[in-house]
This record gives sequence, C-alpha cells and structure tokens, in this order.
Amino acid sequence: MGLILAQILTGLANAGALFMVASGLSLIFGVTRIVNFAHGSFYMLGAYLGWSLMQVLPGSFGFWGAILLAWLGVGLIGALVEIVILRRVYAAPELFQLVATFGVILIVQDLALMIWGPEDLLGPRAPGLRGVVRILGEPVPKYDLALIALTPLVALALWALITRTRFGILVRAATQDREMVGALGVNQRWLFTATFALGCALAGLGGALQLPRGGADLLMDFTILTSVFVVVVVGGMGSLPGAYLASVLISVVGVFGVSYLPQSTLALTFVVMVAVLMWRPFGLLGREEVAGELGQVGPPEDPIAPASARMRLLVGMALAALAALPVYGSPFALVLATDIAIFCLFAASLHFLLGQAGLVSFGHAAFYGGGAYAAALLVRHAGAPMELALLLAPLIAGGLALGIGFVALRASGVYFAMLTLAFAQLLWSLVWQWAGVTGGSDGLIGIWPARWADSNTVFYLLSFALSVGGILTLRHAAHAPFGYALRAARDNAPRAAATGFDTRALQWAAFTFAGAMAGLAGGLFVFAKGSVFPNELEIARSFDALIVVFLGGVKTLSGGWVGGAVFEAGVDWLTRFDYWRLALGLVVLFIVTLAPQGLVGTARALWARVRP
Amino acid sequence: MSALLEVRGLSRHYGALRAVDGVSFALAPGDIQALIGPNGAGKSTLFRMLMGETRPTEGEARFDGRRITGLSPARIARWGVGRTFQITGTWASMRVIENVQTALLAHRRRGLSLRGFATRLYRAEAQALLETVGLAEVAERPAAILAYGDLKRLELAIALALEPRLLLMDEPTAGMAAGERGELMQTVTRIARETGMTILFTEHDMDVVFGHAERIMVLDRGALIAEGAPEAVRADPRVREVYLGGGLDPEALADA
Repeated sequence: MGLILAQILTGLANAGALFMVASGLSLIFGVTRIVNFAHGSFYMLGAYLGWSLMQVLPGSFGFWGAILLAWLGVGLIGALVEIVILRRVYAAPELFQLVATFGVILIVQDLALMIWGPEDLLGPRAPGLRGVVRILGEPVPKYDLALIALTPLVALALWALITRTRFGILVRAATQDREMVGALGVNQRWLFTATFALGCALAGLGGALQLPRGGADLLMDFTILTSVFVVVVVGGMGSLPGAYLASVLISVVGVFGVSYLPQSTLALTFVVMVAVLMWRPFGLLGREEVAGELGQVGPPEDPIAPASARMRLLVGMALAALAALPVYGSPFALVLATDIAIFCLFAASLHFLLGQAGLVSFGHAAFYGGGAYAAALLVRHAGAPMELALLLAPLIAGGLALGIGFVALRASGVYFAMLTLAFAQLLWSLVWQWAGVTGGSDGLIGIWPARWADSNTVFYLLSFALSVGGILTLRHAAHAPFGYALRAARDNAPRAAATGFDTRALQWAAFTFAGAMAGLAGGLFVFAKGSVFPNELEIARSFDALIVVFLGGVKTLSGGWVGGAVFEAGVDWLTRFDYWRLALGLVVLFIVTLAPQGLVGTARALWARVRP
Repeated sequence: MSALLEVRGLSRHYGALRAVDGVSFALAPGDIQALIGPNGAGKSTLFRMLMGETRPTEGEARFDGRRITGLSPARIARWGVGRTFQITGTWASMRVIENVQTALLAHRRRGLSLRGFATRLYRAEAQALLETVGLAEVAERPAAILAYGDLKRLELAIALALEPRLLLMDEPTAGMAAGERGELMQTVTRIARETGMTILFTEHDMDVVFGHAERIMVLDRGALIAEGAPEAVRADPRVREVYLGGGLDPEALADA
C-alpha cells in the first residue's frame, strides 16, 4: 500500500515538468498553429540557465530566485526567436515552420555545448527540502512533495490567466478563429510573440524546476520532446486540463513501468497512448482538429508528366557517367558517392510520402534504422548472407510501417506527425534498452558485405544500382495510377472518397511503400559502414530527411534526391568543423526564410525568368 | 415499381438542434427530383448522410434494396451513387483531363495499381466525357486555373465517370452565369434520360428547379413539408409561407 502510494507520488512529481512543457506547447499551437519542435530546447535552456544562476545566487532565496530568473530568461529568448525567425514563416506552409523550429534545435544544441560543455551537470539540491519524508513507511523526497504542490498552482495561475484576463480572452479567441481576431483589429504580431514567449517560459520553468531531480544534459531536449508529444496527443492538443490529466497519467504509468516492467517502460506508455487514441482519436479532452495543411499551402503544384524521350536520354547519360565513377573517381569519392546514393534513396522515400500522399511523417528514421537493424540482426543472430539481409530489410521495414501506419493513420495532420515521431522514438528506446540483442548503445559492428561485393567499387555499384532502382520505382509510382489516386486523396479527400477511392487504404499503402524503400536504404547503409548504432533511428535522422525534402522542394518530383545529394555532400564537408550543427541550423533557417520553394523549385523559377 | 433509393426516418440531431428530423421519401429509377428549402433547412446534412459522410442519429437509407447507412463514402460510391459538392471538389494538381482519367481509375478499381502511366489510360473515354460537359477545349490545362463555372462542369464529368445509377448534386449551378445554368442542367437531364440515371439535386435557383425537376421535395427546419409535381408544390400554401417567411424572394417562386 505504502509502496504504491509512494510510486503514485513519484509519478505526480514527474508530471510537474512534463505538464509545464506540454501546456506551453499546447498554448503555442492553439494560437499560432505552430508545433514548436524546439520546445524541448527551451526546456533544456531553462535547466542550464537555472543551473548557472544557482551557482552565483546564494541560499534558499538564490535557488527560487534562479528558477524565477530562468523562467523569465527563457521567456525572453522565446520572444527573440519568435520575432527574429518565426515571424517570417507564419505565412509559409505548416511544414516550413516545423523545419524552422528544427533549425532552432540545432542552434541551441551547439550553443549549449559551447557555453556549458559536454559534461552532464548535477543539479543542486533545494535548500530546506533536502531530505525525505516517510509516508506509510516509504521514503518520499521532500522536493517531490513541493513539486506536487507547485504544479497545480502553476496550472491554476495559467488557468486564471487564460480565463480571467484580456490577454487570456485574446488567446482563447485566437485559438478558436485566428482570422477573426485579426479582423477585429487585435495586433496579432504581439499576441503571437507574447503567447510564444509565455509557452517557452513555461518550458524553461519546467526545466529549472526539475534541476534537483535530474540535472541538466545535452540530450534532455529530445528526451522530453517524446514524452511531451505523447502527453499532448493523449490529452488533446490545445486543452490545458487535458495536458495536466495526460501528464499525470503518463508519468504514473511510467513510474509503475519502471518498477514492474523495467525493460519496456516506454512500450507501456505507448500502449496507453494507442489505447486512448483508439477510443478518442483527438485525445482525452481534445476537440476534433481540422486536418493539417498537408504541406500543400500556396498554389497547387504544376501537373506532372512522364519524362520526354530527350529527358530520358539525358538522365540515362548522367546515370552512365555516375556508374563509371570507379574509373575516374578516387577511393574517397567512391565511399562518399555510396553514402550519397543511399541517403538519396532514404530522402526520396520520404519525399514520396510527403509530396504525393501529403503525409508529413516526423519519424521516417524508424524505417531507415529499422531496415538497418533488421539487416544487421539477421546477419548477427541468424547468420544470414548479405543478399538475403538486403532482400528482407525492406520487407521488414515495410511490415513495421504497416503496423505503425495502422495506428498513426487514425489521426491526421499534426497529430499524425507527432505519432510517427513518437513511434520512431519507441523503436529507438527499444534498441537502447534491449542491449542483449541489439548491442544497445554499442551498436552492432562487423557487418560486412559478401566477399564478391567486398571492394569499394563493387559495393558502390551495388548501392548505386539499388538506390537508382528504388528512386526510379518511387518516381514511376507517382506517375502510375497509384500516384494519381494518392494525389486525388491529398488534393481533395471528400471528392476522392465520393469517387470511390478508399483514401485511408491508399495512404496506408503509401506509408508502407515509403517505409519499405527507406528500409532498403537502411539495409545498404549497414553494409556500407559495417555497423549500425541507435542514432540511425533517432529524431535527428528523421529530421535530416525532412530538411532534405524541404531543401530539394516538396512540390517537385526530383526534390527528394536532389536535396539528398546536396545535403549529404554538404554535411560531409560541414562535419569537419566543431560546431557544425550550428552551421546547419543557420543554413536551414536561411533556406526556410529565403528560398522556401527549395533548390529544385527555386532553380525552376529562375529558369522560367531567364528563358526567353 | 421498386424504389432505387428509399429513405426512412432519417434524422441528424446536434444536441437540441434537429438539423434533419425524420425524413422519409423514395426515388424510383429515372426520377429527376429536386430538394429545395431555405438556407439551413438541412439539405446538405441530408446529402451528407446519404453519402455516408455524416452518420445519422436515427433512420436508414437503402439503395437498390441494400442498406447504405453506416457504409463509408467510398463504398457507397462504388455501389453506384455519384455526388457533386456544394463547394466544388476537383483535384487541383492535375490537368483537367487527368481529373476525369483519375475518376475512371477509381471506377475500374485501379487506385493501388503501379502498372502503366496514368496519363495514358482511358484518354478517349475521358475526352468523350469532357465533350459531354463542354470542356473538351481545355482538357490539357491545369484544373487549378479553371473558372468556377468550368470547375462545376469538371466535377460533373468526374461524377459521371463512375456511371452512377443515382447522382446526388448539391447546388450544381451555384456560382455559374445564368445562361450556363440551364445548359448544364439540360446536359445532366439528357444523360439521365438516355441512361436511366436517377437524379436528386438541391438548388436555390427556382428557374433551374422548376425548369428541370420532375418532382420537388421541400425541406424546412429539418422536416419534409411538401412533395409532388412542380405545379402542386408551387401552389402549396405551406411552401409559400416558408419562402415568404424565409427571406427568399417570393417573386422567384411566383415567376418560375
């Protein structure tokens, strides 16, 4: 009895930070319609800022003062980010905003590394709340009790702000109907800035408050992001009571998971989430969300046409020149070209999903890394030859996509995006936790190609042939009846359904198809590197692919692989520098604000201008 | 004569609001019937329920003797019910002819096929349908640049590509120029007479309604208040009252 109570109390204490971050995310989404991916970064900044301030400010006053200052400081940083970056992308498609916030993540990561260094920082204990209290014989940290008491106070203050003040009325009005609020003469710019700052400040507060329990480290931005997405999806986007309820539910489930099912803590969280979604697709207290914009804002793309004979000849010649690379390229060029070919296939598979089906997946790495691990595990544990592993990798990744798609496609728009990301994280954590089979963080090494494909030259040709084959298959699918049916469902879903298309089945098939192609790329990757580590499954890998699709251009057929080639070559060059994430983040922001059509789109627009 | 569409006690309530309240009617094969009523009478809700887009609170609809209530829109469409939307639905990223080709793909159940190039499939058939609705000249243009009246025609071609036995049209001529309206309705009714297709349409333009419908149903505040031949409906005092009180121009009813 005492133990169960103690665990519930721990869960409630864990729910504190989670609620603050989730409510901030929810608030920002409600008003600005931006899913702030950088929200975890503001949480991390709150922790680091709080830590630094606690080093200089003395005593109990200093501790709470530091938390308050961290709260204010992160709010100010949030306001700055909104004014400098987000203001420029409100009019852009939803996806651009997400990519922009991802640029912020990269920049914050490197800035935090520069300022606070790579070591994990131990949080100071709260003065006066150091010990434990015995409740029914079980020790409960005093600070946990303080957090449990504090969280409802923050929630109440937030509730009062939203329901009792003019600012709150505007926030609620904007959440209901943004255009109307603008039409009524409210200065939206400052409403957005204020909301964004408030949301970020909440994340910062959560980060600073959890210092005595968890400290500060460079991974905490992504760690909290997954839980926060789960909370927001379970509670319902835009609902503060929902966020609180879900934070408590998820945290308590998490704590019980740690005690009774330590190997599958995250899996348990996901079971809860899936159960809630099956029952209420828009979360416990959420309202039905208008389906997202599916990345198709602005004028519709131009109709596509199969390549002309002349174009085919040109492409054929270019491919022949690339296939002949072993004749004139250096060994280094061969290795780089292999990496690029594989990455292009991965990017093209996401591009297909996004461009043709209009499905914005934030967890595409699940299938890339899934394919990679499938191949590596087959070799390691079943002694499979390379050929078999390469054949099964796309099939297993496709199967994975079939399963994940079944759940994720119950939702749409941002909910779908967050679900895909959450599932990818689930897979990532399974690989981490299941070290006996997957090697955990040590990865699986020594997975080399079959003897005949052993040389750089042969493996390059193999990767090149399979990648080009995959990309051409994806491209053909866009021209085939399947592609037209997908675009019909994307352009106008009610019309497609009333014409007899089962839109969900189409999207499910596209999700599976794209997953299988990503799996093939993952399989090739393992044999190219001879190893695989959990980072092939992590959020950053999913985002690489997303950035690439944007870099290339969503509304063009070649955006995926063109972006992939430029990105992989660029990263190969950038990673020679210490703070390459910072540089990449700046490049991302540059593209999002200045060349929103992507490389192919911009090139096409320029060509249209130059052409007589 | 057995009914093609039979609707029994169909209702949709939103809380206390009875958007559609116990509507029953039947359509025989080949009927050309209009559903009229003031704004907010429940016409679109009724259409959405027939097409499976909104779940009824009560009641059922049977198509060709089989229950369609509770089925998905795609299933209902495949059974032979076509539909056009009040806010025109076409596929903006495709050419005009590709819109029709895609509808033909759906009709042939080839949505999941990877074989062949979609732009080369069913071209002749699609071109013929475009000719029927008067869009043959703009077949190769992107659908996104069509004028609104032409989009209405294109949507009709999409719906006709399914060779529906029942065609539901939600305000088929709204937003079109006066001259175009009669033309479009003549095209549709001609096809209906040639193929035996049944038509149910809603419309605010009384010229269109009284000029083309064989029978008229009047919906007011969710309930059917009159049904019959145009002359009888025009003379019905309750209908006159609804339109006089509903803010719609009574002259339109009198002149038609």
